[in-house]
Amino acid sequence: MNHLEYEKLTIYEVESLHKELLKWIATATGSLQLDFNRVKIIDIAAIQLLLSAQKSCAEKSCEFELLNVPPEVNQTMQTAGCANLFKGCA
Amino acid sequence: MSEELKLFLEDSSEQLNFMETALINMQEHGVNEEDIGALFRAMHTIKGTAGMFGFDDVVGFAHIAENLLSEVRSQKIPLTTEMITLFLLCKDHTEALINASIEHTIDNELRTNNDHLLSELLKYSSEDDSKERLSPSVSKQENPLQVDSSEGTLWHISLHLKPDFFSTGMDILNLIAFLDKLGSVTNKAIVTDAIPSLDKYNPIQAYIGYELQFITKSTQTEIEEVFEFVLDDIELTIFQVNDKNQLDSWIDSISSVEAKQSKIKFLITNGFFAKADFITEESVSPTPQGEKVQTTLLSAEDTKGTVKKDQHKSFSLRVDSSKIDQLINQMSEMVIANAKIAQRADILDDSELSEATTIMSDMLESVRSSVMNIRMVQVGDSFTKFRRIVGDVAKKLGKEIEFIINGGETELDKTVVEKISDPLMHMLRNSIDHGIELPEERKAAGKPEKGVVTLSAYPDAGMIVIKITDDGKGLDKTRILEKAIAKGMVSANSDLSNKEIFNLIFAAGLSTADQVSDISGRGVGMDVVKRNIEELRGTVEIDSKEGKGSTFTIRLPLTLAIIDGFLVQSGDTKYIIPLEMIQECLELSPAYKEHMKGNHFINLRDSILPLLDVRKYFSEGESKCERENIVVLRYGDHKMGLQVDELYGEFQTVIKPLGDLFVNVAGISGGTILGSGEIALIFDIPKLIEQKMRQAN
Repeated sequence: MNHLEYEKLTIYEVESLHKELLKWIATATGSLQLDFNRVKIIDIAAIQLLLSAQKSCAEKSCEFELLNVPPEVNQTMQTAGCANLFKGCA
Repeated sequence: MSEELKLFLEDSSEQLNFMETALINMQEHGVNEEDIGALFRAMHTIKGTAGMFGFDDVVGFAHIAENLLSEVRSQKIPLTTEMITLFLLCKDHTEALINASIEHTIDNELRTNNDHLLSELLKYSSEDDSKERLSPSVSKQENPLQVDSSEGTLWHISLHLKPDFFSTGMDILNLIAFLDKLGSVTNKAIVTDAIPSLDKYNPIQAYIGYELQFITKSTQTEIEEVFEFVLDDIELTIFQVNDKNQLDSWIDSISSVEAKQSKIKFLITNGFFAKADFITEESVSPTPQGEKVQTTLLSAEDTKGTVKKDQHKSFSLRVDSSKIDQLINQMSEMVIANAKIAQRADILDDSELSEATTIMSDMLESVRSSVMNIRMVQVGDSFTKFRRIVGDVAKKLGKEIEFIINGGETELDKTVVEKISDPLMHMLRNSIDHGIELPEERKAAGKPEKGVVTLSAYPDAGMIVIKITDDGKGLDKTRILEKAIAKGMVSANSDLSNKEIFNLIFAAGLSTADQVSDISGRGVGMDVVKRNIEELRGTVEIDSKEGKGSTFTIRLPLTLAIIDGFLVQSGDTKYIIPLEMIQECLELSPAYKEHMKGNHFINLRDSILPLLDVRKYFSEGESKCERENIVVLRYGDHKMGLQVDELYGEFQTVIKPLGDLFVNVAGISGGTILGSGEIALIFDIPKLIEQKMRQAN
């Protein structure tokens, strides 16, 4: 499980998150879990990055899962029409 | 008015014209499938486009009319004469409704008419459910399309973020959330195909898109306004879900076949549209899964099949006419430049260069005629609309009229066709009102009860001739003269020829009608008619025999910026004669001169040919060549010889205006620049002939 140390996950954070995700995926075996416990705000740029990460995981048959998704993030995911795309979102 | 609105207006009036033509055709030649199809498509298209502008009143009305037409088309209901008349009224009403919608001036009268026509339409309709829809009227601002959902219209929005969307600082999610405030989003799906895997991922680039459907009462413009600030950064398509035409053109706009198929698949899997909604030819080929997207027409309700085929048959392009004008202008400059090269080739005595310029001239000539051709339209289309007017006017006046159109295939410049339409209409009304007698009078005069009015068009000597002939009572010369004398337009003892008397009806303020009707007789009109025709550089002539009928002959030039000319010289000046008017050239031999004995005509194969000596007429200097020539011209029924010094031959002539100072020089219509830089003057042959005739009389 990888903790996301961001309160905000927006266009300003995607670049560093991208680097982290690359690293995590390289080492992930079987599944990649992201802990959203701290995340309060997410935007479409970050969601798009998560979608890309999910794609990369699928390529190496690795499960991609979001954990502890707070209601605020869930709401945004729903607006974005992505709630049903990620495991761990309601 | 916005550009889009103008296009809409243009398009809808075109559709309404189709509709009218089809109706009139069926009125005269009986009901046929093709015209019913045309009628249906016209209504369908109007409904669709009006919907795009949120003209709900138009949509509502067109929808009911379309429903009925659809039943007629599937042969559930026969199309009766009364229905044709009703649809004609509907056409008028739709036109009024569209205009009122654009100007936001829908008044009570229009609403009453709307309700009345709707109930008439519904009387014919067999479908029970449409009876329930009787209620939608303009006044209630309700749209029958929306009956299914009281909340409004169902729209489809497709948007795709451009790569640098994130740099705008806008969050697309806010906009999508806002849509929920504007209406209610029924279906939403994020398009993720384009997102690469992490290793190829650029964090600040946007890859995604959205497909949305939502119900709202808002208009298309209002929906578009939501995206106003990001319009440059997204690809946006909005259309009404039930507008299949729009769906088709949206899918068609996707460039690659693969993308098209994956889009269709996406839309189907996500429940936006049904398979049956896509019936494009491309989708016949298997999708990646080997699955076939259905291509067949599913129900008679669906219009796609015929529409598609028709679009293919008459593919047309809407181009701003100024672009063509510009092209013609540039062509003109090329013609002048080429003339210059030809001249240099002559001076240098370079045969190869000469040959090249000859080829160039030929090419320019053919390009020119192609460009000119773009502007040409058949006059028939605008003539057919007169059928209805003739019918209506005749009915109003209790006269029986057979209206014959000849030469509808004659082609004329589009602007000329448009501008000549009103004068023609006026003249036709006059012919029916003043010319054709009432059935009883005709019977008494030993004529058939049905009067005949003929409208014909044909090309003649580089001009287009439009003739209106009637077999009515003809112009009453004495009445016209009396009126003109009473009004002080001519003096009581003046001796006027028939033609001159007839021409008086073109003078302002002269009407011989005893009673002023709303059709004619107010004495404004014929002067305007003449002025309009003259503005087009045309002429109008009247011939009339009392008791037998009258003929109005309008001659119009093809209004070209470049004409085929014939270059001649007289004294020191070069002149251009429009080539189409030249019949032959001959030498003014000493034998002729002897015969002339100082008179200004010669005997040309046993007929008299009046001559105009250009050198004398324009006070030119002495001739420098020994031989004198005559150019024989024909204009309408008149012939005349122009006495000139030198004949140079054919010359592609670019007409340039002479400017304010010379605008009133009689007999000269313009100038042109020769290859050498010299200026040649273009003869206004009709004016010259007219003057010569006046002199001769």
